[in-house]
Amino acid sequence: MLNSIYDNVIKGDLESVKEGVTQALAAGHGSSDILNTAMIPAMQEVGRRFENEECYIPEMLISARAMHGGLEVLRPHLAKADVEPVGKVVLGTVKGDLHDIGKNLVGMLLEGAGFDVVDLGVNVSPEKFIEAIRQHKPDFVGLSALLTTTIPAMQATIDAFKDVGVRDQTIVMVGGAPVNQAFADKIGADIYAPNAASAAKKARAMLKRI
Amino acid sequence: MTSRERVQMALNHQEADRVPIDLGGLAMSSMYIETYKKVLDYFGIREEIQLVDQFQRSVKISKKVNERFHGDTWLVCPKWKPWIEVSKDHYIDEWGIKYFASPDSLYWHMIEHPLSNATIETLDEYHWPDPHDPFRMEGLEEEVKRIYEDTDYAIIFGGFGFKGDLFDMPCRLRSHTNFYMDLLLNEEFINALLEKFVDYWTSLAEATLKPIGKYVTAVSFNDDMGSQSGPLMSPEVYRKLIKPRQREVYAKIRECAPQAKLVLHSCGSVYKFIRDFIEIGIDALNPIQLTAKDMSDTDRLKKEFGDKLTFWGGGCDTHKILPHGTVADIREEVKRRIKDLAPGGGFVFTPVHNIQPDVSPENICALYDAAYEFGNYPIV
Repeated sequence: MLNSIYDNVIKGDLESVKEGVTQALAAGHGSSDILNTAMIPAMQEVGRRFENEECYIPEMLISARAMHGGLEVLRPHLAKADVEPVGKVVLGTVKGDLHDIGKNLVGMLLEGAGFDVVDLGVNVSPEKFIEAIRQHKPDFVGLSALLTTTIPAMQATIDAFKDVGVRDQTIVMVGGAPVNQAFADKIGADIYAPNAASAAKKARAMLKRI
Repeated sequence: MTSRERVQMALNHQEADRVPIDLGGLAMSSMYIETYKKVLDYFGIREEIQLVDQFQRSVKISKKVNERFHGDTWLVCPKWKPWIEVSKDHYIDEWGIKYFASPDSLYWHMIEHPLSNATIETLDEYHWPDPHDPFRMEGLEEEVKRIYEDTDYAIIFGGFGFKGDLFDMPCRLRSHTNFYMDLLLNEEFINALLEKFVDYWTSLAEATLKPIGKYVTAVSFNDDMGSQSGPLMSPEVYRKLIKPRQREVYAKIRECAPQAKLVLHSCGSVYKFIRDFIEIGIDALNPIQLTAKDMSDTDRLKKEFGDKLTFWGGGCDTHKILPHGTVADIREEVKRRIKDLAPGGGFVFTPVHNIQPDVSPENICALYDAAYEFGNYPIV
């Protein structure tokens, strides 16, 4: 039963995933078990395939949609069983930049990896990020930018975190077309990921280390 | 040798006197408006600035600036309807796509897509722009004739008034997320929508390109199909759903301007599609996005595809080297790319995309001056 949920998340078959989760719950499978042995591994497999160019954004999107649908069925049961998300992430595209496809994919894959994701949208000011850190106390803050002309706002955002003393309360992840490891190091980010699948993988690995 | 002959020779895979330089011949080989203002100030030139692309805020490069940089191309574009302001910072275009831009943002953000909720049943209710609207041709024939007779620029037809895309524009109408998912989940809808796009672009070619086709050295159109790290869809999906429609539109374009070469703009990592592009009649690919996956090794690209495909771009990386490099870095990069791409013709020099405002006028001079200096045939 869990195998078919796994397969259907990978296939992106939303209705079958919802049905599968409902049936698995009715058959007595624990919500945490369904999440951790079927759904999260399925999204990890989708991420792996994406990184290896065995699948592409459309395939990833329909899998994320199926995952999301399954999670909706599962969520009340997870809450009842006091199953906590593996971590919390605040995401946003930095100030001056309005691009969000990459950022949205990162959000979907993080959700698929078991994270609670708070998406602040695009053109997010440092103040808005800071407010979200104070409110949500996230394990990670993800900053996204597409343009060479807007990545300086990543530095400004991290600097603003330092100025108000919240920098050490969270792990900062950065990504986007013009961003690379050297740039991430230079601006004092903790994690750089070249794509959405890698962001989810690195976030989970980082949590295990803490 | 004239600019027109130089570009024609390059597109025919012949070595001219030097590598032709394109500045503003395509909607993506120009400069962002703030960049252009800095360049004009730098040279003390005063002129009225005209946008050639409202979405990208790129400009028409004037004759004076083109002469300074030894540009060989001139873009002619059917007229496009300026966007209408619907409320503060919100605009709507003739397709019904709504955009937002905050005062400090460089680009537009699409916030409403007219077909985001459409179904196959409601698709016919969508009001398509009129390809035959006489407005589109206003002044176009006179302009083309004048450029053809009074200058020796290679005339490139295309730009914001003739995008010709079968993937990017449908994404914008439908919303990217929906369209991407449709590709796998809703083939019937995709087929119906793309058939309408084929009708629209072929009618637009008929209405705007055909009357002036004989003056044109190349026709350019867009279809962004690559991301930084790979193609935006699988080659299988592309070949099944998108490619046949591109083939149809490109055949019509060729019919409207039989002697012109076809230039496709497709950003990002499109290595996996290049063979398909050649097969459906693309003569030149713009750009080579040098930092995208599989696109950095210009020597390999030239060896693999250079006998059949002209590379129109890839003259200098615009992510790192052009904005952040020194004059020496830029010269070295330009020299390297010319050495890889120019031998035997089949290369038109331009960087990767419209030059952004974080590039200094000094670096812009270094870019085109290096192309002029190192582009003399034979390449050494």
